[in-house]
Amino acid sequence: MKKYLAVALGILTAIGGFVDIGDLVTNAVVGSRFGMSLAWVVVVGVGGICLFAQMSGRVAAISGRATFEIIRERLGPRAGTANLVASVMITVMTLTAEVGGIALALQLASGVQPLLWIPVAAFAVWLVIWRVKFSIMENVAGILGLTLVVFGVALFLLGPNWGDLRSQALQQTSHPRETPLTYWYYAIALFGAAMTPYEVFFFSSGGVEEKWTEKDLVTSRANVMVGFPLGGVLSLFIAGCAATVLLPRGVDVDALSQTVLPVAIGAGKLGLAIVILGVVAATFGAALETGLSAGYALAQFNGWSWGKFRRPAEAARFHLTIIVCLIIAVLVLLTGIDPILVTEYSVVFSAVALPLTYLPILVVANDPQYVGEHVNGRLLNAVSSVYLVIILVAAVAAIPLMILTKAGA
Amino acid sequence: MGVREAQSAVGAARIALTSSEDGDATRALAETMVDEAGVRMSSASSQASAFKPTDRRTTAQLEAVTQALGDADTAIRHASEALAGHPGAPSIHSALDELKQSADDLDRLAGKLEPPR
Repeated sequence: MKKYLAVALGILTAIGGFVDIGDLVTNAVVGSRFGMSLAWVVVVGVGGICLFAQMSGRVAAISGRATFEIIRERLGPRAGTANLVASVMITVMTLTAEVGGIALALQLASGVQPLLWIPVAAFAVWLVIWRVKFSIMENVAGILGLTLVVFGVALFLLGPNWGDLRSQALQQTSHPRETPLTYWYYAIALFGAAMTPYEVFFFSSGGVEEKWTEKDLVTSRANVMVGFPLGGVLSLFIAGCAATVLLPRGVDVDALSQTVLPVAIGAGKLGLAIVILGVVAATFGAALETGLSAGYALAQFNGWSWGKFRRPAEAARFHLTIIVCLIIAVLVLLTGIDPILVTEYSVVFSAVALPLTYLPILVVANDPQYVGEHVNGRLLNAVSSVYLVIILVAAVAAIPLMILTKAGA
Repeated sequence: MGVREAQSAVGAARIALTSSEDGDATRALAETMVDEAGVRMSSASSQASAFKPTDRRTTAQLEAVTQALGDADTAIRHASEALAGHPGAPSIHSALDELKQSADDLDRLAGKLEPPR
């Protein structure tokens, strides 16, 4: 019974923890501009993150080693350093977006300017990372993030024309205000939002933190294979709300307030209160994960002592890295840069950096020295190879499309 | 030339005002949205200012766009004042009418201009 409860809790946490500021913003932007036409990208992206997390979770459980220890070992110090720099930069960019997201959500609740919330949010993130136990931190943020289900409730209450939404998703209806280049630019952004590298660093390092063994493979697989797809459904609800309320009125989402407004219209002030709570929980949870992921990446690569299972004094450089990353995030945000803009860039650059971590994990998941008899099967390798091609195409096309579309403007 | 941004800003301000009036959205959310719409109008105006007309036709277009953007900016400012409820501020109802008029003007103008992108 206790085991089933642990699996259920893990799944709920995975659902609630799936959505972050990148998913909130990108799905709403896409819904407001393309309706449900890019729903297929969410499906592809969720499939990819399931595959990636499942492989890295398996590697962590069997070998007891996390992503960046393996990357350094497999790629060597030089290529590994280039990989580390790119991955940490993307993770810090995502952390900046998440801290900005917390501040924006608190602004919606309080009316107080986000600039005043930014240091408070970053301090709270640090305090939780410093003081709170890993499992409590992970479960509370994930469970509170589940309140984002209110997007689904609001969508039903809005009473959209389901046939229209279905035909947008399946028949790729035309978008007179858009060009094919912006369509593909946002397809990559949505893919990057679903397959953010930090999620995998966090997932695999979390496996080491929680001392996973071979016995935990079933639980880890259930969390990924059930939790992430249901999290993807939340993403589709966000896009559906924007497609129903904002697309017909010609409002292109460029602010968090516009992302949550459809919930207020569908589910009233109670719905609004719940969705703001959900956004704070989702962005706060993701800020914890990205902050930790930056620390994990640097510490694992350099062979420093790391992890929340150790007292901070025993993993001083790991904690110092997190503090420095949070300070960088705060300083960037205090320049007055729009957190939504940072988010939009972070999801695209996530797509650019994705092959750097996907490929080593794919190689190691096939190496019996690391995973023993639990190497990828033929079918899994076939699917993983298809994804490798998709990931490479997205990574190569992202920057040219960004330039050609002026970042989707 | 910033018309699309202005359409989006006016649209956002209209929904914010309507949902606040209907009691769906809180005043804080509506005010935030209208303020953001104001910021977006500044960006739309910058885009229009950066546009360099090459002939008489584009000069006329730019004049029409500048006029419409100015009207939209005023409509959003009035919406902000209506929400704040300062003495002498327009009512929510008249601010909504003004936004609707501005949205119609922008739609007409967008139809006359070349395809947006």
